Amino acid sequence: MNFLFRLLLTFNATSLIIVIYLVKEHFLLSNLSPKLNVFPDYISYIVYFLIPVLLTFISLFIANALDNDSMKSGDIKEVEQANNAFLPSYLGYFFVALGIPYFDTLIFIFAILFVFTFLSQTLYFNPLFLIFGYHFYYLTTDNNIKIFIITKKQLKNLNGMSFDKLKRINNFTFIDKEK
Amino acid sequence: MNNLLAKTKGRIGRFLKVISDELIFDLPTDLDNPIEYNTDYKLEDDEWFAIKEFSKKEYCIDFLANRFISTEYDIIPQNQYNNINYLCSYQEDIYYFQKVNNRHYVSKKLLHLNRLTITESEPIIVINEFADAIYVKSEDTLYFKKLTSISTIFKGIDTLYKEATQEDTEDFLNNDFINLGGNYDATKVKKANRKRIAMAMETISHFNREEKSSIFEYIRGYCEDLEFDENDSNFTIEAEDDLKKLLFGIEQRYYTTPLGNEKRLANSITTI
Repeated sequence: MNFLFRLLLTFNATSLIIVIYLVKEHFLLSNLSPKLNVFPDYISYIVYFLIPVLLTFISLFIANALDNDSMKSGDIKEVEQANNAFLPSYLGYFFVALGIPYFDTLIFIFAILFVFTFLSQTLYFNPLFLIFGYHFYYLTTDNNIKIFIITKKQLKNLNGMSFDKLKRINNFTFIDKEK
Repeated sequence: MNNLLAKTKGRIGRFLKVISDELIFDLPTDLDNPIEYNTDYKLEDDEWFAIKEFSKKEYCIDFLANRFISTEYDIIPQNQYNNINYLCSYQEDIYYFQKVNNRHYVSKKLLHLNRLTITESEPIIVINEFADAIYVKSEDTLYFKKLTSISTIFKGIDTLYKEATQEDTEDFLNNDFINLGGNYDATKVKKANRKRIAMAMETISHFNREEKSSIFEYIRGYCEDLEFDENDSNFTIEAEDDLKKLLFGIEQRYYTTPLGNEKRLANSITTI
């Protein structure tokens, strides 16, 4: 269960590469069926983009079934914003996608990125979470252990900072499902 | 939030998370009249031993001294399921410990009467009705019933019981393999030997008659100056030192080096 969920998250985090490639190649939905010719080109691009968005939404929903953890006020010693941390790697993905000449090359590069993102465990973060109002933070606990948190809260003040409904994605990554 | 952790065995044993949100143990209702630990005291059914200011004791574990934060513990991987030393359930700032022995692992063959087939049940760990030890953080007190069942959880806590009482000492010296001489008696046994007696009594209680005679043979091999009467088959103990030699022998602390055949005494022992 957890394994499949992590596969889904990895796919969500890396699938934008495919979207960028398809846009770059002017691959339109009308190529699949002539009936779709009536739509303007940008509709195809929006549909491509909506697929990972939808999958991300589904993954947020599935996360409710994950194992629970919690942190009390005082458990956290340090908080560090990580919203920007994924930008360099994402820019990298985008440029790679723009430079890929053939479809088989795309598949190969996507497979490599997928495997490494999956294995790296800390790089599940997916900019699409931002669309759903989530932010990324590194937290250091009172016992000096660093974890990665995906939450809707704006974390600034350590006083009274607590999480009652953390869901464990893996041993380093937790998502806060508190409303 | 309640969390169940497992401490794995071995030198690199660590705490791993098992499950959360489950109430594993209930808080006993009879913790209000605790007895300070005393080897001689036999607990009534509704009594618990207690160690106050537990976090200041040298046998307290860091795990209890640190703040409990469940996100710090990794999920237990499947290959560690059979390697659990003890379980600890953290419930509302109270820690419940249960030692896990082989007898707690259960895997049984089941005969299904409807289909007349045999299947093997999935392996399970039996959770006791009461925890072996309970640590209430707000009171900094550890409660327990049996010291031996928690001595592997809190290393060194057995120093509490390893001193034989006057009565135990007398009983031990009355054993038929001991012949007291030279005005030596139980009142003259010092603290160090009392601790050794407590251990030796435990050790010797597991020996059968043959094992006893072979251990005496072994002691005679190493302690030639310890007088042994062949007819009555007993050692003559006249001083603290004689008693010490005998006690070391019962614990099998004497050994010979494989190279050079040097006879030696092990200063301390650890099971490998």
